[in-house]
Amino acid sequence: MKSKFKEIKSYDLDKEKVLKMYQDMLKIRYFENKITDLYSKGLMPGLAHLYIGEEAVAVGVCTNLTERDFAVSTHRGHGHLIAQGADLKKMMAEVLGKETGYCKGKSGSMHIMDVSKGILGANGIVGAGIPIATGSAYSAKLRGTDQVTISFFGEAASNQGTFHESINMAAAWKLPVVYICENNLYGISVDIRKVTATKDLAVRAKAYNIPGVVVDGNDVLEVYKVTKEAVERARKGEGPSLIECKTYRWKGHHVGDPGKVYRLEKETEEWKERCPIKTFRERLIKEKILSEEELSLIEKNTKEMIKEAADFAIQSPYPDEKEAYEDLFVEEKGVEVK
Amino acid sequence: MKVKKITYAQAVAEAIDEEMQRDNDVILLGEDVGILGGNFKATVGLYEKYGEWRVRDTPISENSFTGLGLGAALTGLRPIVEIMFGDFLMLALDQIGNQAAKIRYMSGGQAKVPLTIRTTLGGGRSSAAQHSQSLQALVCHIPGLKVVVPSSAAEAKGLLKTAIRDDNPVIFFENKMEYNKIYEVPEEEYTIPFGVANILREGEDITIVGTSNQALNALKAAEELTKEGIEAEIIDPRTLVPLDKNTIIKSVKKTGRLLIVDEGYERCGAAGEIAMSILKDVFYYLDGPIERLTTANLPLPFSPVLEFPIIPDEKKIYQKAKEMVKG
Amino acid sequence: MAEYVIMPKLGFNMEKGTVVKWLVREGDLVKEQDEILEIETDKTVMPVEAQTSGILRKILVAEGEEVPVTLPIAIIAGKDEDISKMIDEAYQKLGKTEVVEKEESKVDRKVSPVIEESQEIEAKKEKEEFKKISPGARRKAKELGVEVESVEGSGPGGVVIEKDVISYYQNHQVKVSPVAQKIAEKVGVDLGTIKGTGIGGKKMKRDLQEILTKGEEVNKTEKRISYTGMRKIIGDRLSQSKFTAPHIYFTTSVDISRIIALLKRFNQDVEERISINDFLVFVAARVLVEQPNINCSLLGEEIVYHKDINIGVAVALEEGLIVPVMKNADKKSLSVLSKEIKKLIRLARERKLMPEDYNGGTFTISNLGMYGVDNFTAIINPPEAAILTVGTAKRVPVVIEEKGAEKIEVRSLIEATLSVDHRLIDGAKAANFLKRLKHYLEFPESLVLC
Repeated sequence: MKSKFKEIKSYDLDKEKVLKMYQDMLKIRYFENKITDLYSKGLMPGLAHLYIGEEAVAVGVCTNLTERDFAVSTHRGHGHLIAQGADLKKMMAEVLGKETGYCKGKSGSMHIMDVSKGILGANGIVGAGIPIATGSAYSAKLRGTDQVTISFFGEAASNQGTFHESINMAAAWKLPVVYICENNLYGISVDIRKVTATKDLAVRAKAYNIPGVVVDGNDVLEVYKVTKEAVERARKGEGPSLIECKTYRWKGHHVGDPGKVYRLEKETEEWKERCPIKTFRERLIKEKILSEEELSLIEKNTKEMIKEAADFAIQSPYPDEKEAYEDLFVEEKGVEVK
Repeated sequence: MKVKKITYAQAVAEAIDEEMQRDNDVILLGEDVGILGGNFKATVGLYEKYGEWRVRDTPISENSFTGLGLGAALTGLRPIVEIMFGDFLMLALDQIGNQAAKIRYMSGGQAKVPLTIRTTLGGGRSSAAQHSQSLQALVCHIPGLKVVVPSSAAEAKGLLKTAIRDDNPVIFFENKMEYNKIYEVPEEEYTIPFGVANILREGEDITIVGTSNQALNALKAAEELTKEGIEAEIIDPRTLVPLDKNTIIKSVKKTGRLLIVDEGYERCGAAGEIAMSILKDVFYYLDGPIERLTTANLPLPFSPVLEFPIIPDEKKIYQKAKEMVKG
Repeated sequence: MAEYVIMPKLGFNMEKGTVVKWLVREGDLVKEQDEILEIETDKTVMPVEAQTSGILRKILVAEGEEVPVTLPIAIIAGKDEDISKMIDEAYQKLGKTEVVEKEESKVDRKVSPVIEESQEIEAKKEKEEFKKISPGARRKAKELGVEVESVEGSGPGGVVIEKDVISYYQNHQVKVSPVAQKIAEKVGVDLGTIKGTGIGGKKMKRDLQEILTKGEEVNKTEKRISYTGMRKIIGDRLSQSKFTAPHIYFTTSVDISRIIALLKRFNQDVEERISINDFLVFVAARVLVEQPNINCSLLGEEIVYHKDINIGVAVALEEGLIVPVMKNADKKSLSVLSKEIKKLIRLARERKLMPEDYNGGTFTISNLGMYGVDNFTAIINPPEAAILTVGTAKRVPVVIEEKGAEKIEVRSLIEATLSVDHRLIDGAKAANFLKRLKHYLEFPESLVLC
């Protein structure tokens, strides 16, 4: 898909915001690269699901949010977490299973939560976050706030019952939630095109009588714009929207999966050409919004941040065995978990 | 203490009403809970009082509206989600077992999930296999959930209030056979704590632990057993998670015999769990093996002549207890 | 490598033996020459050694049972050896018709069977019938120091439950005051029969005094032992003898004054003292040479006149009479006889007699003189035909004829009684025996001619 980028100026954004968007995408990219590195060094237990190639979606969406808003993520959640301003050190430590991690080593990559920032967690069950996001929207509406919830999910999740059930309720009750469907074409190895009759998934919005939009997931500004509209609708009490972001993951389903058995090399290469960071960088330079030096500096600083986070994580201690018994219930700390 | 005579269903509605009044964050959602006042009349009057946002009739989407309740619980509310029949818990098992039960733990203690899921158990009204199950064992098995099995109306009221006030996910099983029965309930407000079993009757010869209304059946059986010279001690555990093991252990050390009655299926049921969890502490005080009286390992059949023989009841408790003591 | 343990034939005449006591249990390891059981034959209890090493897998004959010699009474084999065939064959030989269980895993030996009066548990003949004792009962028993195996079970299926242990304890616990205890012991009262009126049923002095003053019959503790073993064997034989052989009795008084004087003289010369009893044996032997018709036995349909004269001397032991035999008494000198008699009596007292020491007797002498008995009649010792009994020596006045005049002198007299089997010996012969005996005893010089 050949994308025609609009002029950055036409989006009416101040330079700071644009810069932040670029840096956020970098953070995600470098973070994920670092994870790959640590994994290959055997420092990471379990698995992580990398967001490389999809940075524009997370950043484009989350730039619209305030700290008071909520987001529910997926197993491929690092991008969403970072885009919402999660602490890189705590994230890295959590992925390595350390005591200093967000969840004290209890969740690992797939379930990281930062309740203080309204990040209601990555989720290991496909589609399970969608009702939760709908519930947080219900809560906001009941409490009379203008908080908005973003529900991130993949195209495969849109085939889960929860997708339909949740959007139905959100639509019926006009809940302030924006459903972001990140269509990266493959659910592990299954091509969405083979298991769904429609070309786009956004058309499903029609079934629920809500707006459904398709957007180039690799154009961070387009994603931003479309989400902005949906968020405003929600804040105004006009109900939910469904935004389908067409994107692609460069790596396999999880760290260590080459993702080549079920995909054509050619396809992957084509998408890599349309790298959201690379193309954005080119646009920034072309439109003279940021100079090469400035961009290099940002890149250097960002790399530094990631390195710091990694060092922090590596040097952090593992939690004590006894901690396994804690945090199950609210009042019980280290007591018999019955 | 002044008491009033109300139905079990009314007692439930009162509990919810009192809590919704006390705390604006308490909301109720489920199928038919609003305008109809609940399929079993357990939420009558609430919709009129609190309106559609706090008393929400949901579409038939058990998994998702439970998840919605969970999302609301994570963001400041105290939802009560009703799952009409315990059998339907299975539809919502992801949100209950993979999400609600685990979010606090997975978040390293950051999140709390003040979610109450009310559902039902109990057969005996020819509702057949898919509407008669008592699945408390299913949810007991998953760490992170508290499980409540009240016996009478007064118990249900006090325990439900505690459940709603609890900051943890609670699965609350109401006995559908009890809803229409009239019970004495204290006039004034009260709550019953979790993890404290209730000794309904004292005795020397045998301890009978009964979950949900089996405690009441056991109490009736005890009246008959006394005619045989057998004095049964009846214990209502009230909550399966947390389980008050100490009360049961103390009792069994005294009587030397234990019969556990639970309406769940026999295999991997709550009865087997209770037995095993106290066995080590009472083994050297036992005069005979611990026994259980449960529903047979069969889907419940429709015709009463098929259904009744395979579920526990007062008569079966009497016979079993007598056999255990006298042979 | 499995072998039978058999009932050994330990004496020429031994035809049967009784298992008195198994010294090992099924499952025990035994080594060759280990004593593994005790048997009884005729009069003595004998240990039996294992002839091979191995595990005592099966006991075929129980304590108290009598079996013919050479028959199998147990099996020693390897731990896992299949001995089912051997068991079957053995039982056949033993004439036992019991259905033999297939050798399964060892019977639980830890639980001993109920010994006391037990209302029988409805015998569910399961694979292993053993006493069910609940954990609660065991705990209580340990606490109270009760032998839980002795407690009757009242639980379903006969299970011994906690309250059974408690009842047992209360019933068997004699709560007694020290004074009452002393009185009871002195008088010989079984405190179990006395009701206590003290605190908690404690038995007090007053409870005993009431009983005593009321004159109620005080329950002396009776002692019971089983009628088995040696006593039973002897008893059976004696009964048989008495009821089969028609006994007739003859008595004579013998003046042994001259024997006494003679022995006094002898005993100055010899190291070991010769007794009157030794003399009796010596004399009896010589008389029997004259009267072989006394030295006989009825064996089946034949009267056997023995070629040897083997005289048994009755020795009284705690558990009964035993009769060591002086073989060929007629051919032995008085001193030899005396020594032999002493030796055998000693062995008898030490329970060390071998079968050849008490088998083969043809005549028995029993002397109860040391007990002050004047005379007594004895039961013939089968298969002998006669038995001589002798009483105590008394100093009595007798009429003596001297130089044609009668005068009274004090002499030492003993009474000798001969019991004979009238089927074999008639009165005249018996009387003659006694006449000749008296003659030799009163005129010992005449023995020189024998």
